[in-house]
This record gives sequence, C-alpha cells and structure tokens, in this order.
Amino acid sequence: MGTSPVVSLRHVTKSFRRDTLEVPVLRGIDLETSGGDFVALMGPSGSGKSTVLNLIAGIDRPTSGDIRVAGSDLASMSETDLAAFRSRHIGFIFQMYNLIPVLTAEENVALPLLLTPLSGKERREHVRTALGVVGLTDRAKHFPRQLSGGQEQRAAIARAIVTDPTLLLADEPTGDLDATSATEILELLRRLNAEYGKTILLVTHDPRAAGYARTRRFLDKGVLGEMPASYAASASR
Amino acid sequence: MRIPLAYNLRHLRARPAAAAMTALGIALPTTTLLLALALPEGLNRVLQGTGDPDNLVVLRKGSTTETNSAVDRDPARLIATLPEVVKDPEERPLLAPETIVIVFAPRRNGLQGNLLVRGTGEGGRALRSYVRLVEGRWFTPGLPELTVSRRIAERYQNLGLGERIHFGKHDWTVVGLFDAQGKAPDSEAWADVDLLMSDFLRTTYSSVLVRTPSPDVQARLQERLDQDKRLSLVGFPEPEYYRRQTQGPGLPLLFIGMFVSVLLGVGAAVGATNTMYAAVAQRTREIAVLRSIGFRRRSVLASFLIESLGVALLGGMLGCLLALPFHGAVTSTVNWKTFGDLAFQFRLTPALLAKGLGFAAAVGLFGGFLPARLAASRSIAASMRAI
Repeated sequence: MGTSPVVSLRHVTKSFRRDTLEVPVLRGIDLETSGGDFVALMGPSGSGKSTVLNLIAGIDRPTSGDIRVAGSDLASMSETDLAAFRSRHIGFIFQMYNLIPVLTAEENVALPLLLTPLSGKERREHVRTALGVVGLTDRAKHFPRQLSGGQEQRAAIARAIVTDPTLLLADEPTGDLDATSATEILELLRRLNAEYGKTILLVTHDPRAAGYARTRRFLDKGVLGEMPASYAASASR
Repeated sequence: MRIPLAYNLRHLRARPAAAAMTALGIALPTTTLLLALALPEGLNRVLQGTGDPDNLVVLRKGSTTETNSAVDRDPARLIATLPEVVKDPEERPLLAPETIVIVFAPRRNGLQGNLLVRGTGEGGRALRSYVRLVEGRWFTPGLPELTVSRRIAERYQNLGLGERIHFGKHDWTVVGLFDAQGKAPDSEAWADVDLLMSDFLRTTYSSVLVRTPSPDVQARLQERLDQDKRLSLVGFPEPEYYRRQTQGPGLPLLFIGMFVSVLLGVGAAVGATNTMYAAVAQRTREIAVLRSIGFRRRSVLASFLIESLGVALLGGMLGCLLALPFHGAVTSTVNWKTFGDLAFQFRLTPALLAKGLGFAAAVGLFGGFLPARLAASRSIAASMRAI
C-alpha cells in the first residue's frame, strides 16, 4: 500500500443551474484517500455524495477547486483523456448494477478489457479470474435477467475490478438488495480491500454498510464534517 | 476501441418489430431505385449491344434516326455501285435499302402500342446475322407477310404465328418468328420493303444499311458520302447509330423512378431516425455506463451508426430480394428517337445491386446520424442523474 494520496480533493465546489437559479451542491470540500483505504462517504439523500463520486471518476467537472486522482489533475484533462483515465484507474459499481441487458455476465465483465491492449485469450483469463473472485464462475453465460439482484451486483463488481483499477467507486451498491445479498456484497468489498488491497470509496446512507469501511466521512448539505452520533453508533459493528 | 457488435445485434434482436419495420421502410425505396436503374441498364444493353461495326447506316444528311430520314431511290442505287461496299459471293452489293413505319396496334394488355414495322429484304437479313428464324419462315417478297420478333409476338395481339393484322392497305399474315438475341430488332416486325412502301405511299427509303470490308474503307465511304453534295447523305457506323439512341428512351422513366426513390428514401431515413431516437432514449442508462467505463464519445457514435447501418443493410438486402424477380422481365418503352416501342429486359447486375445496398446504407447513416450524435454527446453525469 502506498502512502501518496490516490484521491485528493481541495476546496471543491459544485453547483447546478436550474433555470436561472444556481443550486450549490458541494461547498468547498477537502478529501484525501490513500492507496488501500476503504472509505465510506455517508450522508442523507441530496447531500452531494454521488456528485463527489462523479467528480472523482471524471464524469463531471467541479465548479471550482482541484481534483487529483491517481496522480492526474482531472481539471486539465480533455474528454478523451478522461475516458482513457476512467478505463485505466476507475472501477464503478452502481446501485442499480447497470449491467448491459443484452450481454451475458462474462461479456459485461469483459467490456472494460476491450479498452486495453490485451489479447482475446488474455481477456478471457482476466474475466475468468474476476468472476472467480466474486464467486460467479458458474453464471458466466447467464444474461442479467437470469441472475438474482445479488448475482447481478457481483457481476457488476467483477466488471469494476477486471482491469485492476486504481480506485473502486461504489455508489449505494446495496441500496437495491435484500439484507442477505447486501451483506454478501459488503463482505465482498471488504475482502477486495483486505485481501487484494483495492482502494474503495463507498457512498451510502446506510450506517450498517458504512460499518464495513475503515474510514467514515459524513457529507451534509455539501459540506464534509463529523459523523453525527446517531450514524456513528449504527456504523460501529 | 469499439463497442462489441454483439451489443448492437442483440439489441436489434431484442426489438425485432421495430427493426423489421425500419428495414422494410428502407427496402421499398431500394427496390424502387433498383427498378428505376434496371430500366436504363436493360435499354442500354439493347441499344449499345446492337450493331455490327462493319455496317454503316446511311441516312439523309441532318438526320440522326431512320424516323426522320428520307433516302431517294436514286442515291440508294448509286450507293450500290460504290467500290467501298462489300459484294456477296454472287457479286451483288451487300446492302439493304429499308423503310420503317410506326403502326398503332393493340398490345396483349389491351393498351395501344407503337409497333415498329421494318421494310427490308434479303440484304437486311444477311447484314444482321444475329437475327435467327425460330419458327415458321421468312416473309415472301411481294406478299403481305410479316416475320416478327418472338418478343413482340408475345406482347402484341394478332402477331402470333399464323395470325393477321391490318395496317396500310392489307391484312398482313405473320408467317414466322425470329429472335434477335435481345438486340434492337427484337422490337420490330419485318416485311417486304417495296410492298410496305407502296402500302404507305412512300417514295423514299428511311435508310440504307451497307456492309464495308474494314474500318478504313468505312471511314472512306463516310467521307465520300459527306463530301458528295448531290447525295446529301450521312453515314453512321451501326453501333454508334444505336448508341446515340440510348439517351432518350429511358430518361423519363429513370427520372420518375429516381424521384420516387428519393422521396421514399427521405421517408425511410426519417423512419430510421425515429427508430434510433427511440433506441437512444431506451438506452440512456447503458450509454452512460459505457461512457463511465471509458468508452469514448466516438465509440458510442460509431456503435449507434453501425446499428443503424445494420438495419439499413438488412433493408437494402430485402430491397434487392424484392427487385430480383423483375430481373429478365420484358417490358417496353417508347423510343423517342424512332417513336416505336422498344422492348427490353429489366437487368439487375451485381453493380446495380451494390448501388442499391449503397443507397440503403446512405439512408441508414443519414437517418442514424442525429440520434447517434445525441447518444454520444450526452453528459454522463446528466444521464446518471436522469435514470
């Protein structure tokens, strides 16, 4: 595990324009994450958690402030460079899994590898490994509609880790799952962090999910602050 | 790197009705275009394939077709004496003074047609060796008899073997059928030149067809005819004579066909646009996911264009299949140079089918471009928020 920050946000603000109205979402946040961290970013709905993830992934741009991820200054990068950056450094896990419905589990997992110079054989090996890590080898040929919610999310995690990205960004990954499946997914994330040293930034409003992280930060009304006592109690397990 | 083709193919398979309707919408203008292009292709084959380069068609100076030409008997006799004209084994000059007459005659479909009747003789047959008698016999000089193209016999009433048709001063009996291998005489009925001229009170021939021994001699004969002010004649090599007629006959049909194709093509492109817009709307989330994984805008653009192209090519192939049964079908149009009906076959060549597919592809790309651009230009974050 390295000590240089994988993610560094300095005085980041983000506002959205609704008609003529400027709606501030992030009000100058600072955040630093080192390699091998497992950080939970908590906060109520609308607090700006997903916006933080989008900014770190380079799929949205801040109104002001600096964002450095894996040594890259995202503000200075073009759309094309950002796409290349995402394919190299970011693995995204969504609440709604967001698998491509017309592709099988293994084809979904293979998608990010199409952006690498790997050969077909190497790609197949990587896919097999990723599906093995998430315990979904026997469902490789299944389409998303043939999988349970938990299995879909595991396939989505396999897709996120298959290129061995620098950073895993998980946006409410258990928000659409039953308790048992949610626990499986959170255990899987913890294992990815503990055994494989993956740096994970988990966005959740669920204190129980946040409990799996090593570090917890709280975002409220666009400001990073201390965890309220009620959250902290629920999050400690 | 491009988004895998399986993504597009399976999406098409997932919404077969929409894909099929779009493909059908593109198939129809493709078929129309192919049929419109098959017309001149067939006509050109008839007119450009007709004519022996050793033959010279002699007309009155200033004329370009037999219809508006008049060659007096004296000049015609004079041509027969010229040294440039080939002699047959019996030392007779190998030439054919001919006349053509347009006769209104009922077609088998009930409509009236302009039947081209050619008055000719033994020389006319000798100079057109590709014209073969396939049934019956050749007409007898001096008798009101016709030997007609089998293709014409199939298209006109009263022109079957043994049947009679009235024009001029006689009832003409069909005594034989010939086959001209798809060349211009396949649109003609042949009769004795002298009797035909007498029937129509003609005192001049329309043309004189002359055999020359070589291109050099032929050029010399052309020059002699051109320079002899008494004759006032002009000679065209027979292939060139027919080639000059290719610009006229098919143009109106080609124009109408192209016009309808373009109209239908625009409609089909709009249909493709709607289908692809619907596809983009349905796949907002997927597009956002693909972009978040690292696929570039241009990959998304290419993917949707390929999908649109795929549907269009499917439509194009369907359009080709719909047009194929017309290949070889015989139809006719008025040859505006001679005013006679010109029978020809629709000809769908591989090059023409490729043009049809190219047209379909263009419709698909044109129709798919705006939706593909929309898909590629959407902000990932906005799409994420929208879903």
